Amino acid sequence: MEERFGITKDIFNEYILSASSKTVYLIRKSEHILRCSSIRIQNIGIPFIRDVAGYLKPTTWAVQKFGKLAKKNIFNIDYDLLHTLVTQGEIKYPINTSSGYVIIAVESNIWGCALFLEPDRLLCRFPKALKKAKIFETS
Amino acid sequence: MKVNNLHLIPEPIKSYLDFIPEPDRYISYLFAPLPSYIRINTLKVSINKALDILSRYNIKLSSVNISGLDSFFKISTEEQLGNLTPYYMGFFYPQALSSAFPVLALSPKCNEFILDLCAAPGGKTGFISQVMEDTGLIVANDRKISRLTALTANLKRLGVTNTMVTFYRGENFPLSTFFDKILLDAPCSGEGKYKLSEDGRIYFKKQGNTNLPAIQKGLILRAFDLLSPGGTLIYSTCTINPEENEAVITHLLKKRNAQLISWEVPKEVTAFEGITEFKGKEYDSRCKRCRRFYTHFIDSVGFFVAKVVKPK
Repeated sequence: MEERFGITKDIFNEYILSASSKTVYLIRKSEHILRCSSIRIQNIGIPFIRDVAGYLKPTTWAVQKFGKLAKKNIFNIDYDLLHTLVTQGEIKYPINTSSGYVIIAVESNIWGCALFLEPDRLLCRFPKALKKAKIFETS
Repeated sequence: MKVNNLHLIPEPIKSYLDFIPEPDRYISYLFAPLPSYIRINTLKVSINKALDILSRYNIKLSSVNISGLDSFFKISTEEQLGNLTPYYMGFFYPQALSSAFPVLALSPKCNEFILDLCAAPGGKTGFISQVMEDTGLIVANDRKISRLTALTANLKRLGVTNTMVTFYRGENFPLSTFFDKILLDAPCSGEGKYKLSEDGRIYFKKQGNTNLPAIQKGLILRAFDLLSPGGTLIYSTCTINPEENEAVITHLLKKRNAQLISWEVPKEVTAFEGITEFKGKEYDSRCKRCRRFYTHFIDSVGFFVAKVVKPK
């Protein structure tokens, strides 16, 4: 997160990361966590990073929670461009950065991650449900 | 519809008219739809920003003006709320106003250790986390795997990071861990949601013959046993039936050294005392300290809330 988005490590001092085979989860640090050592846990916190085809991808939930703290590779687009990205899955968007995941925001609301492939391909990587959601009509 | 058209009022509603205040008005309410409410999720967005975003849809919002419920709004719209982008962004959660009352009674504080024993689908859990500012630890439990899926999805979308999800039958939750506070929003017959058709049929009536009071009694005893000394248990239902409410509290008071206490309802909300007698059965006189919320007074789903403390 620090290398790609400039979100410094100290932001996560209040959290604990816990990894399964494909997903790293993030849970708020608490003295009470140890009190649950004898309870069978099904799920903790939110999914933070996933292994997607061998590459680490921040989840939409992680990006929505921490994305506003990103200092790089965060791009604000307008609703028309967002609509095209969501409906067509890909847009031409030349930006000055290396290939990899970027954070997409609209009016400073963080939507999620897209995959940027040099020199100008931006591929939608939002969850299916978010892709189907109604974006209001802009006048 | 006047109460003197009693022949059109089905059971069990008819039997409750002896203790429901202003029964004429209550019956009238049963024929009209309830308003909808949402809670702005301040873990992800400020109230003002959410209102600005929602104003761009065909949505009317009005504040409920109740202390402690600044994030709740009455909503009027033709839009399918679950299809909207702000919903998927976790900016709001559709939630009955009265479902907030058990959380107000629980009065969660930052850094506490709280169990939500019947948590799914997660509306109250999300509100508890919001009040705690996503600190401390909430254990959100439910007994059905399908409901756990919905619970987990809702918590993720709402950006709740201070919660662990468990999968136990509530009455079998392990007695190896003890909590500062516990919310038991028990499975119930849901009579607080009932609506009537013009010919007296009940809408939203649950089917089946489950012995709910037996289940609720098992749950409340386990919930009480899971409390740390000095801890607080909130027992709540969305039913009017005293056999699922005061009878369950009376059972707890007989079986455990529990203190049933009054709690201060926000002054803007009309609440009524618990009852001490129904159909010839008597309940513990302390049940007057419970609080009943009737649909025609709060303009939301009817609720029952009891606050119990475990002595130190």
